[in-house]
Amino acid sequence: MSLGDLLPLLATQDGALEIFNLERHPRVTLYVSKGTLHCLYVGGRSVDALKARSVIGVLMNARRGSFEFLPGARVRRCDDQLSMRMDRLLVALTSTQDEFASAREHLPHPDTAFKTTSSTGPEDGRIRDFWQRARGMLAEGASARTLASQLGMPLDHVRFYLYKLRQSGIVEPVRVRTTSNNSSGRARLASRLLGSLKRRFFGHRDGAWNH
Amino acid sequence: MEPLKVIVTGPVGAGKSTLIRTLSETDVVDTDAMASEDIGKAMTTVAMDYGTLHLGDQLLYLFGTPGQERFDFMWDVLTEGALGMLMLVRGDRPEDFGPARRMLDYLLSQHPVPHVVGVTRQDRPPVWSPEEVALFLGLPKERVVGLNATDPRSAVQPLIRLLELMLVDGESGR
Amino acid sequence: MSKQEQLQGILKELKQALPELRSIVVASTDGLPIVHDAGDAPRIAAMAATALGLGKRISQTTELGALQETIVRGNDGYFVVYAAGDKGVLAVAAPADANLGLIHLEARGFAARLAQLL
Repeated sequence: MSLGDLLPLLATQDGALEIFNLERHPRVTLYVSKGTLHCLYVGGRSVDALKARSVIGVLMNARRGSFEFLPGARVRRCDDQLSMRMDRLLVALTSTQDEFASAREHLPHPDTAFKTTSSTGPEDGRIRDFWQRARGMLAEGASARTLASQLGMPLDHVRFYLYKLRQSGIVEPVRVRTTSNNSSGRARLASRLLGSLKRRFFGHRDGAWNH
Repeated sequence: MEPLKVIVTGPVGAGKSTLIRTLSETDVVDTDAMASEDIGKAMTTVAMDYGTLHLGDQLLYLFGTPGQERFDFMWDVLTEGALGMLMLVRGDRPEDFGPARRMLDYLLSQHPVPHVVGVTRQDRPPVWSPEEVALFLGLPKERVVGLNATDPRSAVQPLIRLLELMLVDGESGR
Repeated sequence: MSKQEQLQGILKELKQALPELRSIVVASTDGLPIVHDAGDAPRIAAMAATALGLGKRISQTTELGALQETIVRGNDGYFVVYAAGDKGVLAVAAPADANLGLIHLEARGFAARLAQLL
């Protein structure tokens, strides 16, 4: 049974779903009540809404894992109170996954730095949380790899968010500029090379060239 | 005089090795291996292609990079300190534009290198034009030219444009 | 047994023969991992293919004869790349105090066996 099948069943349950034995991922506990996720624990600590979305996205793609449902279980203490409707969350994640799959070829390289070009944030709610967390770093320029590491998110999710932000014109890739002042030296070099190149491939300028 | 280096990069099958073979005076030194994936041809570059061109008394090295992203460490190694970069894209393969943009953005975020994009297969319509590719890549029109990689007088056009733009940038103090 | 299972079997035997190896990657000559026991296998597979390709070219151009192996040596260890037939690459990482002679001996034998399957 895939997690994608399991999670919707939570829509009608009250209690805690523990997911463990995942490949390279700590134990996850979802505390749900009346179809709402109100706390998510990862490896012993609660996580915020942005991270929660990421984690559930990862869980939905997990190929192996065990689970245990504890009806009626309540979280003792939650530093990150959530209020996420399970049904809406799953729809949003599924459509994101479809979009992600079709956008694969357009995702940026993990080490390409992006910088903000606009102060208006994204309209898309899915991206807004990410934007809030990342905008400080993006103001200076940051790559997907750096952001993923700083925000504790999967690299591919961050690449997707940057792709969406770029599509909305909110960020653009950084172009590193040369620090050398020798542009006129380079121009002279280019001029010389250009002359040689044209002569070599097109013959002399006086037109004495037979093909 | 110190030799100068021009890098030829771009997605798999764009025509990088072909271009270098067309422009190089010397036999091109390649590092090809048998392709285990279906990329439309039998061999693929795993390290670099290397050719040379004498322009007057100046020696120019032409280095071609591998196209697949798993070899991106070679893109960096080869682009470091280059005089300029030519990126080739097949004009009849729009599915390669995404990867080409990814490569271009990555390299330009790491290296302040003058660059021109060459769109190949212009002799075989239907094909995307240089203007259309420029739009997709977010480059000014003058940085994208069309070419036929097998004809020397066409193959040299991106290199000519690269030098012309360096002249213009030099004059404007950029 | 499927080819993949056979390759895994050979990998296991190599690990047992040379327990000091830190990682092992078997890849195609164009840089795709086939079987491995390494962290960042895709990256290592590509680099191994590049190293082998470059090594073969250098060996040819400087007339060294058939390539035996390409070695990268750092302060903390070695990375050695062998051809496994025409289509394969065997790459191993060993600690700094490893006995390279022994590693070459064993690894070449395994590379030949891998070549038959690839």
